[in-house]
Amino acid sequence: MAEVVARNPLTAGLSKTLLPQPCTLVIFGGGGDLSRRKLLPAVYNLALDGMLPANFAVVGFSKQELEDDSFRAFARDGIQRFSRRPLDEKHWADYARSLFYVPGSFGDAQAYVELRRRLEKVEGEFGIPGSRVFYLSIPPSLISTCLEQLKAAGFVAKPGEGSFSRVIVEKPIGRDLRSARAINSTLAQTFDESQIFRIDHYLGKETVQNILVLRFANSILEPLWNSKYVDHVQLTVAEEEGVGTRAGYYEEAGALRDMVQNHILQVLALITMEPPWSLDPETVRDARLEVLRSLRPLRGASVDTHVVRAQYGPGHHHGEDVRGYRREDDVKRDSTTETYVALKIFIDNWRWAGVPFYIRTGKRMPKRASEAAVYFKPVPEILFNTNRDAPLDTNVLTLRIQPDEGFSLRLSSKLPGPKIRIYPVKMDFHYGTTFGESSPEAYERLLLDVMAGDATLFMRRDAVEASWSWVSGILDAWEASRVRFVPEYDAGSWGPIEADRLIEADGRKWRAL
Amino acid sequence: VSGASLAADAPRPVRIAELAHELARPWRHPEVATDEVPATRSLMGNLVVLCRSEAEGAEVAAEVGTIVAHHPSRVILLVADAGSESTEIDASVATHGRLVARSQQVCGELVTLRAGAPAVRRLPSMVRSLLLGDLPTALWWATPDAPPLAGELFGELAHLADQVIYDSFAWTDPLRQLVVTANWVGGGGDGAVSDLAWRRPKLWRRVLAQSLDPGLAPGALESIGEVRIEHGPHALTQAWLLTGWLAFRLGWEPRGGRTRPGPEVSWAFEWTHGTPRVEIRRLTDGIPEIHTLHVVTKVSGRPVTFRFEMQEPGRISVVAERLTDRVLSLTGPVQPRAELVARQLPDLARDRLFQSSIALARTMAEAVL
Repeated sequence: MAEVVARNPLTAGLSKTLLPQPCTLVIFGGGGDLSRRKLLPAVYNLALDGMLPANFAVVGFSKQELEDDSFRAFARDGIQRFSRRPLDEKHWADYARSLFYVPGSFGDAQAYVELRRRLEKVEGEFGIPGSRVFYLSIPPSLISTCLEQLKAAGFVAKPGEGSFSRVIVEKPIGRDLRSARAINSTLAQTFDESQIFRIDHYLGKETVQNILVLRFANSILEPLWNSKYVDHVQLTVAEEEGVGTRAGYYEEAGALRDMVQNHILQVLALITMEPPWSLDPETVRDARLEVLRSLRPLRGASVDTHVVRAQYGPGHHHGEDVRGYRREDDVKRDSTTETYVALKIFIDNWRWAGVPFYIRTGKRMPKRASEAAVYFKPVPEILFNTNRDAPLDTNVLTLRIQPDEGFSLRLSSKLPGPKIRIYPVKMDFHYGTTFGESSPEAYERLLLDVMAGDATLFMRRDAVEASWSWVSGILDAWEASRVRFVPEYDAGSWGPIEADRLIEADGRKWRAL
Repeated sequence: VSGASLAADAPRPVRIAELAHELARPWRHPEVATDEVPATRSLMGNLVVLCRSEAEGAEVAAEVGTIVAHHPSRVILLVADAGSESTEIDASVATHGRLVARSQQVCGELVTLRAGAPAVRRLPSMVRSLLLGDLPTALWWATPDAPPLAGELFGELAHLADQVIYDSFAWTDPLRQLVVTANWVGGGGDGAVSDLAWRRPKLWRRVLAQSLDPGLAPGALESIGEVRIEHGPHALTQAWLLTGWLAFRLGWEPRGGRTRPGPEVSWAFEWTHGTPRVEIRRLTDGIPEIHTLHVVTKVSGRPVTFRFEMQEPGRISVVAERLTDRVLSLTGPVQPRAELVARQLPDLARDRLFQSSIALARTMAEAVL
């Protein structure tokens, strides 16, 4: 930041995030679903907030035969349906003028010639100094093709040159350690690590960012944040939906790859990492990586005792009959892909030695909820906690990631009256109602960070590979077990009984959400 | 503002002695029929507002909903009416809240205290008793006096506050008031100070920082020869603070200024790269904002004029003449006064950039007074 201010004194007082550099956002897959639902609305909201530079344009690039005008109509439709803020006709014209489209196949070298021609024209008109962000919103199988073509067409500027080239890659980065390494190697052949932004939209959520603030801006929490005071931690990511139209992808992925390997391990790392000595992106990412490297490996027989996988069977969702997973369209009738996974894991470092972390994630749960709950140890069995039949509820700090972002703290309090009766009360903080305004969408924050060159909230290569390395132990054990059926849980329930047994064997229970 | 819609009671008169009791009374959202639905109170700070007339007070009271929706607060609105000879202090209370899921949430409490001239000196003691402990307190001086000229009342209220917010928008003698206020701002103290006229041109500061960035316009900052600003009525301090910021950040030293016939002021500055000139011209009509800003400079040695023009509130067009033909535009949120106040409330740190900019604006004012 200091060097930015030295170069341009007028930027003093503006946060780095508020200093996106003039550039063109090139969306590979610009005519696709993510572009319409998330990316174009996110850019629109940033424009409304005055967060984008005046010298900025978006170029969509994909196989759909669109023209500039039809791409603008496509963007308008996406904004009308999915934007955090309603479409404002007054500002739409300005925004629309900065949208362009180039149709083409990702493997066609000629298409990149046309893309270059359009980019140079747009950059000339908008006074953009050739800096480009390439957002690869494409299937993983096409990443290598696009990278090779980008390199061959001379789109990639080296770091430190006048203009910048940055690439954003969506998860999944591979489907196992080997394929993740292959993708990372391909990325490394084209871009320097400092130019690569592996996006995990969970890390852009307000509450996830607030984890660091909560931990390191409050003196009362950090002294308690260790195995001496924490009994256990529960992480839940529950989805209401079934597999829907993503069966093709999901059949190959499953809950462990789709949720645990990326979102959940990243959140776990933020909750458990050591205090970084600075907020410099590399320092924060180093601290997160240390956690991933400290995860106790789960391999062979330990997978059976520490991991539960299951599929949703038929059941009821909001009172409606719903099909089981193996009856969904495009799902094999004998599929063993897990739609639910529960794990009991340990972090073998000084701070967290012996503290179990219970993780569960699944589809077709009763409601959508993502949260982390830190359970503190009970008070001694003296004074108010002498009744073993009704022990006092312990303190719980809950960080809600979605849908109702916020956090709460459960404390014990005396009920009014002459007798000593103790009752748990919850101090609850809701972002939406306390601050009264909607939080920016995760993609807004993350796109802004890429334009500003801040990689703090993105996954570094070593972290991606460390998490795949850990998950591989479980995947290998499953592969070796050759099971023909995985347990089922009723759609609309909180998961299989085996998952209850996993935690109840330790004398604990899953949280009621 | 998202979430459930905000509801507010009509202000209810309360005897002074019963204010605390009234504020502690459980609140009920108008759509809730029973006492069964739990109510919670979620407040982030105290906001003390000083007005000098019923009209000013009514204007602020209408803005409280917007403020507490962004920044839940206990608002203590003081109407110190010098035209009234009443020796009594009248009080009223209104509550703002939302219905969220199965919970009623209070996010604002408005306590209005009206005092005639003889009772004004008793207001600070009442404020002291009404402040919520352990929460930051802001004083919003919502009247067109320069706060330091208000004497003892301001001093006592400011002493209770972690930050002071004022608005130089409607100052009647802006240059003299600017000098006095800049002296006070620069006089030390730990609390934050903010002029809403400093927050308003934020989009202008951003568009200047972006457009003149060396990466985009090499050499533009060093080669500025002339800056011309036109502003509408009541936006004089915005223009001066913007100039103060530009000059401070670029290290320009004022070397003299003069007023010309008509509403125009000009200065000569000096720095290592030359002697830039700045002209500020007041338009007789139009919106009370900065309307245009032209920067005459060179980019990579070629003469270029950047023309920034406010097309409408929240939208500035940019043309770099002789550099690019295209008209670019930068949009930003249009923030009415209540929203500006709400967004200032969480900023409890002293804004060094504002302090330095107003200090330079004071030097500019002294040069032409």
